[in-house]
Amino acid sequence: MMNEKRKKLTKLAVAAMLAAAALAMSFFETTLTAGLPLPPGVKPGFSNIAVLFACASLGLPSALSVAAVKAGFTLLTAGPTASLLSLCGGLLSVLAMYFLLQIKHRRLSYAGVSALSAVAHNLGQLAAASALVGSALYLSWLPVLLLSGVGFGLLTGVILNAVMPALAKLKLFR
Amino acid sequence: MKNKLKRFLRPADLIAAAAVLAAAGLLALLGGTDGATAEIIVGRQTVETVDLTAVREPYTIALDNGVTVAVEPGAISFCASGCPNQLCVRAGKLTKAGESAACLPNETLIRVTGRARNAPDALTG
Repeated sequence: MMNEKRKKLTKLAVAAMLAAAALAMSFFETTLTAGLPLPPGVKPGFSNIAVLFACASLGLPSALSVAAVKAGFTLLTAGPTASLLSLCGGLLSVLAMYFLLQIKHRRLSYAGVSALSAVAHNLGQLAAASALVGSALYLSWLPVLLLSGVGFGLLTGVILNAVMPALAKLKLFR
Repeated sequence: MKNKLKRFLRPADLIAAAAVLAAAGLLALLGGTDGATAEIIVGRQTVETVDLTAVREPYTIALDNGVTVAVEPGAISFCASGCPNQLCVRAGKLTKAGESAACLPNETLIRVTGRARNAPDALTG
């Protein structure tokens, strides 16, 4: 009984730490890409490392709440429109991660899961923007957006693959 | 060595990535025909339709909501808006049928359509 409660509290604390890490990585990323002439929506998405780790080790509700915290932070820093886009992108990408991670005998590593969820993130944002203007948006740089989603998604996934053994050694859930 | 690499990246990852890249390449190849007309839509109402093939000199259209749209031969773009992130301006010039750009805070949308046989909206998956 006591053990169950402790487990829940640990999960909550780790989820909160991951949310904080996600925000820190988002901020770090904006300082990194500031001034670069990137098309809208093209960014590394380092905070997905934290979201994917949450999804893989804590489960769907925790990953969704990390995505929600990110959207909440965007509400404070960039306003309601950006926040809604962040929420829809985050939601779709977490769902993509969750279903890909559920696959039995999965051959994808975190790199593949991350790449596909990054694309889901971009498409979720485009869908939200389309819903806001009440018309299907087609962006001329959509191919670039897909390309950057896959590229950066692979990169962040490889980073998670690389740090996973170190994270496992922390024995967060014991 | 090979096993070490496999810890970071597996063949399946690359196959998944290649599939998306193929889709992106296909989209890039398909996005072809030059646009004929441009529509400016504010709050889901079309406020202006421009025949891009008839434009000779560049000019700008100032909308009531503070957004300015630039029109030139064969192209339309957002050139100014009061919104904070200026994503609409960074979207650049639209020239091809089916392309669109939006300034979400001002609920303003510009889109380019071709002749009637084109169905631009079907492109968004």
